[in-house]
Order: sequence, then C-alpha cells, then structure tokens
Amino acid sequence: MNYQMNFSRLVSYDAGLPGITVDVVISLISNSITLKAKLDTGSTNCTFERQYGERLGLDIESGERIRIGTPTGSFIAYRHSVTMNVLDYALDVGVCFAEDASISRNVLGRLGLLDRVNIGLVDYEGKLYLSKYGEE
Amino acid sequence: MSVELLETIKQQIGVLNKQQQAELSQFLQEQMKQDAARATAPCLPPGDLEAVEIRRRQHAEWMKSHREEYGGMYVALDGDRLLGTGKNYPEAAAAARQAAVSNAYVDFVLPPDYEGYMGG
Repeated sequence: MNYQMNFSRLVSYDAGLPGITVDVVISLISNSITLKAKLDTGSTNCTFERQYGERLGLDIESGERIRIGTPTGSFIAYRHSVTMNVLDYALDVGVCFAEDASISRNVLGRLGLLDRVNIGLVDYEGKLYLSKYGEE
Repeated sequence: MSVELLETIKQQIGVLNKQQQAELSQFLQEQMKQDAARATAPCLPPGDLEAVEIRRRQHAEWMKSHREEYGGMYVALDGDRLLGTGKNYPEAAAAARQAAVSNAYVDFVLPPDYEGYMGG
C-alpha cells in the first residue's frame, strides 16, 4: 500500500551539519534573537539556552517551572510564551529556557512545533517538506 | 564609519590567518542575521506594543495558573479568556475559529506533575 501526503512548503537544511539544524528567531515585542536549533522528534519541548531568554529580556525564573529528563539525568527549565519564527512559520508558543546557564542545547521538540505542523524529511537531500496542520 | 577607518580595518583583516578570517566572517554573518531579524520584527506603535505585551502576560499567567484544571489539554485563549479546549492542537484551534478570534493563543497546558524529555 502507498501513502501520500501533500506539503505546501519546502525548506532546505545543511545535511552536512550534525543534526537537522535550522535557523530560529524568537521574539518578544520588538526584541529578537536569532539562533540555530536542532529538530528533535525525541524531545517533548522546544528548549533553548538560558542566555537567549535573558537576551530577550525575560525574567527566566518567572516562567512555568518544569523538569526535563535526559538520557543522563535531568535539568530545570522555565516555559515562557514568545513568538517563534521557524521553518517559514511564525508561531506564538510556549518555549523553555534552561535554568542552568551551562546547558548549551537548543532543540525544537514536539510541543510548540511538531504538534502543529506536518513534516516530511528527506535527510540525504537536506530537505524538509512542511505544512501547518489544516493548511491546504 | 569613515572610508579611512574601513580601509584600515580591511588592511588589518589581511594580517589575520585563514582561521581568524573565517571566525570574523562567521561573526559578521551572525551580526547581519541579527540585524535582519530586528528589521523584520513587528514594528508597532507604542500603544499596540503595550497591548501585545499585556496579552502575552495574560496568556502566560493563565497557562501557569490553570495547570491543575486543564493540564494535559490544549487550550485556545484570547488574553485571559478561555475560548475552548481540545485534546490536540487542531481541536483547540478549531475552537478559536468558532469563537471568531483570529489571533488566539493556542497551546498545551502542562500538567502539574509534567516532566519533559530531551533526547540524546
């Protein structure tokens, strides 16, 4: 049996980089930060380094406190609502900033991104096919 | 910046080794991206900026204070007004459309005992 999906957008990424790395702009009012993050279907949340939240002007600890498990332990992060521009979409979403400034991972996970877009992946060509859920 | 200063900087760049030039190039590219991001950021009058920030804070406060009640569900909010709920994003977004609110905030409410996961 064959299955078909239709996508409205095509975004290329550098298949030579470790992980599927894409540009992300997070913004708050008129303040924006550009960073690189890895698409991670194994992560529950979109989580960024503390420094990016601070540079946006957020009081990190005023967000929703959550614990995030990893294969080697866990860390605390705080969720804040921001506007996230990623893969040609502008999304108002809750994203997390790590409490510990030494955590240097930036990932795009399920909540806030994968829960609202359909994604097709051709990794050897560095291509992501995308549609927002419900988009023609 | 004066033409002289620019020429001086260009000459100084010539003294750098290849790796340092690559680092400088990377730095300039990042700077240009930041500038582009700032240029494309929504430019709203001060009154509108304040309204946007008030709405953002209302959404954040609502999400934080309703984890017991709505944890594990998606909600659609208009400021601090609940428009509807759903078990996934499309359902909650549909509730917002039904309420005729085009810029509703739709997101997942974290349950009180929520623990996220980040892959290896």
